[in-house]
Amino acid sequence: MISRRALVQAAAWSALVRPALAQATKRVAIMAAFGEGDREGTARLAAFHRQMQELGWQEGRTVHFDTRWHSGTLAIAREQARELIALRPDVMLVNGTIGMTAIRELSPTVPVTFVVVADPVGSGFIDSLARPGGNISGFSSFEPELGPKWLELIKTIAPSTRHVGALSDPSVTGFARIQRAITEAAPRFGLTSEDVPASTAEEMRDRLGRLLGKPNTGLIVMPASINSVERALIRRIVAEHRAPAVYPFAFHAREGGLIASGFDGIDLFRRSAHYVSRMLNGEAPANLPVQAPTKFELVINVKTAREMGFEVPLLLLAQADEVIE
Amino acid sequence: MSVVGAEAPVEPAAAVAVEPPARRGLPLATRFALAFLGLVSAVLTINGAIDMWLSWREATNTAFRVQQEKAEAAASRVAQFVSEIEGQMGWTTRAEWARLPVDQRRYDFIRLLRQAPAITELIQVDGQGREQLKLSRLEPDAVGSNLDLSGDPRVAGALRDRIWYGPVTFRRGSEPYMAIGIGHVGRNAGATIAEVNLKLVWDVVTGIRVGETGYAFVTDLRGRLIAHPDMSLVLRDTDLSRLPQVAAAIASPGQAAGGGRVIEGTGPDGRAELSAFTAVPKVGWLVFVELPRQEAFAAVWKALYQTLALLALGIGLAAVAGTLLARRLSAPIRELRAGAEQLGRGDLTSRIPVARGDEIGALATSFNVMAERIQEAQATLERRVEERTADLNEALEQQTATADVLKVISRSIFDLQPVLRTLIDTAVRLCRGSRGTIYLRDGDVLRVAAFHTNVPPALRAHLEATLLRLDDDRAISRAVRNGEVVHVEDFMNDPSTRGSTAPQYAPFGSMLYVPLLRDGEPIGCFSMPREEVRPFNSREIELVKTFADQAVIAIENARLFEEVQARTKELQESLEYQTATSEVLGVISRSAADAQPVFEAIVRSAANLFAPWSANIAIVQNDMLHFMASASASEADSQIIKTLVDGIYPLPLDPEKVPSARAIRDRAIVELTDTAQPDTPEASRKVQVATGFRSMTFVPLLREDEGIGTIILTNRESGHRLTEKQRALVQTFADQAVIAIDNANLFEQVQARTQELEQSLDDLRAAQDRLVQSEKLASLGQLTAGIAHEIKNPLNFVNNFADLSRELVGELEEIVAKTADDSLKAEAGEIAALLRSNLEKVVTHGKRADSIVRNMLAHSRKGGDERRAVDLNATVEEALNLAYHGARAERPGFNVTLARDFDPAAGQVELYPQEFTRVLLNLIGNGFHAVDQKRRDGAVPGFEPTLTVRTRAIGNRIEVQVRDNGTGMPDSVKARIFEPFFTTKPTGEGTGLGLSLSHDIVVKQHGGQIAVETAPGEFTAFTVTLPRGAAAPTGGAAP
Repeated sequence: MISRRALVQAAAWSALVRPALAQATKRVAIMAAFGEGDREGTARLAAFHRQMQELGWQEGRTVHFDTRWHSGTLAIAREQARELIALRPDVMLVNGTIGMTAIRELSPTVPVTFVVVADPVGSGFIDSLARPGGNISGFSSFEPELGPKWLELIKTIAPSTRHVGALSDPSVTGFARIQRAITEAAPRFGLTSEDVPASTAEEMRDRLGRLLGKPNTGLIVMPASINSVERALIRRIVAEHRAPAVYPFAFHAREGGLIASGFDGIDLFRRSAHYVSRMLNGEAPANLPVQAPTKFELVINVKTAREMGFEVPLLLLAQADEVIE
Repeated sequence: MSVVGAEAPVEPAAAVAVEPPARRGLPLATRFALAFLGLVSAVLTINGAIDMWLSWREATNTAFRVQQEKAEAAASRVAQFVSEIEGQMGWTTRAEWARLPVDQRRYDFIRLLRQAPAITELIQVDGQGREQLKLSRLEPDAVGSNLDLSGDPRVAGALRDRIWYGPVTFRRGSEPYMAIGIGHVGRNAGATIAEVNLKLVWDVVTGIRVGETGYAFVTDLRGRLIAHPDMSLVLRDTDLSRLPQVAAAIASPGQAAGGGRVIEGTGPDGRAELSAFTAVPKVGWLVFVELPRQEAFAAVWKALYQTLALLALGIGLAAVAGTLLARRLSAPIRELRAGAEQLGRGDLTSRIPVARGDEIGALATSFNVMAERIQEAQATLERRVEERTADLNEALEQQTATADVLKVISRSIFDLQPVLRTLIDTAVRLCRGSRGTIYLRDGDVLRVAAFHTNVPPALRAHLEATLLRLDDDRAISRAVRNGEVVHVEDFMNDPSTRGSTAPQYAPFGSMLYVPLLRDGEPIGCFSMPREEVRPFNSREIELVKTFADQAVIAIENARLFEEVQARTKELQESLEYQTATSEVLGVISRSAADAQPVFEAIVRSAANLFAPWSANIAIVQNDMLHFMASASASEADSQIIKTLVDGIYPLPLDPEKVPSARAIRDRAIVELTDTAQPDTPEASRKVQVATGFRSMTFVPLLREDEGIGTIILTNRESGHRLTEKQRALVQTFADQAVIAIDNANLFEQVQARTQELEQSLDDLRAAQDRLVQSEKLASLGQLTAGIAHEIKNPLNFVNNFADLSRELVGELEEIVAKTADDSLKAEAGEIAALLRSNLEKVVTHGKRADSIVRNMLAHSRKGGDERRAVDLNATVEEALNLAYHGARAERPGFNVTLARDFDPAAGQVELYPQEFTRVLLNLIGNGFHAVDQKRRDGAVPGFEPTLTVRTRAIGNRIEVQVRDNGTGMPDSVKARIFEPFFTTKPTGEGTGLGLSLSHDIVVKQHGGQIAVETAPGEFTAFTVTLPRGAAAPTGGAAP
């Protein structure tokens, strides 16, 4: 509740300080996942800014950035989407499936580069990966195959697991295909699975507690924005129940999560600068194909594993790109 | 006139020759140069064109060759990418590998995924095509699934061909993938299949550099793009078979395999490009290397421009050479023309040089012959002209002679002899006389003034020795006496000349005497004898008379000249005197403060003007005569005077012994013409003995009829006196010396007075500054106190209500705790906590404001403190202890060395003890702060914080000094420290009122002074000075 107030206040401030911009300056509206000040969120945006600079854009002179942090909450994202579109930007950079959902609802005509958005075709954001067709293109995140991979990881590190819950945000449709893949693949690993929908911290506290209360239960943390925002809460509940959990981004494991399997979000942000730059230079998003991640990472936090009493098999350690001691 | 006439006929001929003939068409030289230039440039242009064509072909070939090599290199790098993956997979294809334990194989696959980032999936199948092991980056691993994959083209291909490359597929229509299958070694062996993400070929393709803007791309055999520096083109699944170079490559795959060729293609953006391609046969890909045409042919264009520049240079050189050759041909013709023109102008002696035997040479010879003829004709004419000229010359001679004489007269007016000699010589020559003599009258006798050159020496001596008296009857006497010409036709037989002894020395025939008359007055005589008897005719007599008149003019001129000379000399002298006087005046005006330069200037001028006199000056000071300056034109005299004066001067003012004293007493000049005389006064005698000065003159310096010194002039010779003019000048000098002395006296007085005035002005200013400062501080203090009164009440409200609200929050929390709604409870709890913390801040800062206000109010305190006598040292000691323990309590780590330097004589002082202690606490507290600050800022090692307190009794005042070796203050801070609210401490630590209050207490209440000395980074010392009691004003001075 406090954070909501802070946000409203921040919005009020940002409305006040909006400067009158020179005609020649291009305007890029950025809708970032995470809460403002989040370490990972800041690092990702920094990678984007650095690449923009290398491409010859100078902040404050040739380009101006308006940034909002939607914290993975659809209501806030909607509000910010309206706000940002009202600023009449030249290009928008949208992070997170929630953010893209909010933008899509307003169907603006401004060119949009999205980054870390799951299943953009399935969510109806674009026509096809090779030829997006509309005014939207960007960098997609997860592919459905990864769901079963997560199941495999849980089973490998905690073989006694019988049941798995997939924590996801019901307000977006982008994760449906991964969830379906998980449900379908679970029996192969001798598991039952269930969806754990939660859009707020409250819901999370409630539903995760209930899920992990059952014995031999593991958790798959889906790459929903709210899951990244509330990661500390999730880790706390997971630690309380000493449950095996797999996370979608390396930073989860680096901050104390058990195991993370996914791709390099910072790399995607860096690459997204190329598309923003090309759109600022007038290229039509319709002709820019959607790019999938190429760098995958597996990070294991052995310290957490030891604390929770899990033994990490050597084969799994061999596959890890990074091991946190 | 005849000379001019002789030249006249030539003139018209010259005019005709000079007129240039009208030119038709181009000059010969230009025509020749143009032909030469045309020929050379034609040759150069043809050569340049061939050269350009050849270099164009060569450059094109080179560009093509380079492009081809690039293409081959690119293809080999792409092939290497595939080969590397193949190589990495290699060790999983050994015969025994399939028999290894499954974990070992998994390790190997994991390692393979590690080493080859492009591989996303690995599958091992057995000989029957059943899946044994599968590892994927995205999907779950599969171990021993035994899935039958024998129908899978990848497996079938690998088992059949041993190495099999799948076609490029596009996953979800976007990402390019390719499968590689490798069959295992051995009988009935299995295979390893790898799925390769071809996006990673991008790294290879972008790494290929072609020129500046060139690039490479890869397609499959159908022209579908596999790799391109712009990844989005690949992901968009682009078909490039329309591009001409791709179409050509697809049409002739054989040629591509053989190393490719270079064709002119277009880029995906329609740009003209030079394209080369090579196939990678292993996987059936085509690698294209593209270079924009513009860049490829940049070198060719450069060569083209170079050739053009060389061509231009060649034509330029040809133009220069052609011009030079044409010049050489036309030069002799022009020479010929110049020669003819010279002849035409009348220069008949000139000949045209004939250096060549050709037609031009012959023409030149003809010209020369013609010139010779004309020259001969002219010579005849000239001879006739010469004869007539001789006649005229004679007539001219007489005129010229007369004129010459006049010229001589006018030239040498100051030397009579040569003039007279010239007159005699000329007259004798023109009148055909034999000799001549000029006599000048000197009273009643005639003296010889000048002789003719021919007068023999014997006659000359005789005439000079003989005085001719005018009172006898001889012809010459008559001529002079009567002022008339006397003509003696036969000297030897005429009665008036008979008896003359002159004929003993030279022959005499006819004789002419012509008197020299000035204004009718005879002043001499011109005599001219002829050796034979031949009387002078009237023209000759007239001529001699003319010369006689001219002699008179010359004599008169010489006399006037001498007079002018004498007058000029006189004027010059008085000018010198005036200059000397004004020089001395100049020195006077320059050195108003000091008379000595004036004395020196006076003696220098006098010595220069009166040489060989030496000049000296002596002045009366304290009834004695002191020597001041001396000068002499002779170096020896100067030396003598210098060594002498020290022994003699100063002299007593005794008129009997000292002539200067007499001159001063009598106010008159005293002159001694011979100091060797026995009556010479003693002082002068001494001088005479030592120096040999014989004549001395003493001129008194008089101020309002009082003698104050003398100018003494000395001369080596006896019997000399100053001339009247010199005396007058010395008087002037004496007056000037008096003025200089007066000036110097006045100057000293003025200076002393000015200094006094300046001193009192400085005192006045200092007093004014002190007054202004204390007024300023007083009014600030009043203002502060006024503000404090006004703030006090509202501040009380704030503090009280903040306290109250804090309690109310407690109550609120209790009420909320009773509610059942958990979320409401939590939220209300959070807000209550926030409120509580806010209120605590309000209370804390309210207290701080309160303390500031209390301090401010102290400015307006009514003096509750009693004024009484206390022991100063005891009071200071007490304050020091108090402050030290206070500081220790406040800052636990604080430490400082205290040094006491108490004056036992300080004793009892009447003051307000509480207020004074307050001042001391403040100053000591500031000192502690400063040393502590320095320590925390990281002072130099070995820094020892020290605070020194010193008391001193100074007359009826006492002094207390608090000195620390802390941070010190810059001047900007020092200037403001006594102002209220000025503080350098961080916000919250100081009120900025301490020193302002201290100033108030010391200055207003105790009538004392407070001063500060400081150096940044070194020390600060506050010094309080108080009167011991009696002078202090009554208490409560502050309002």
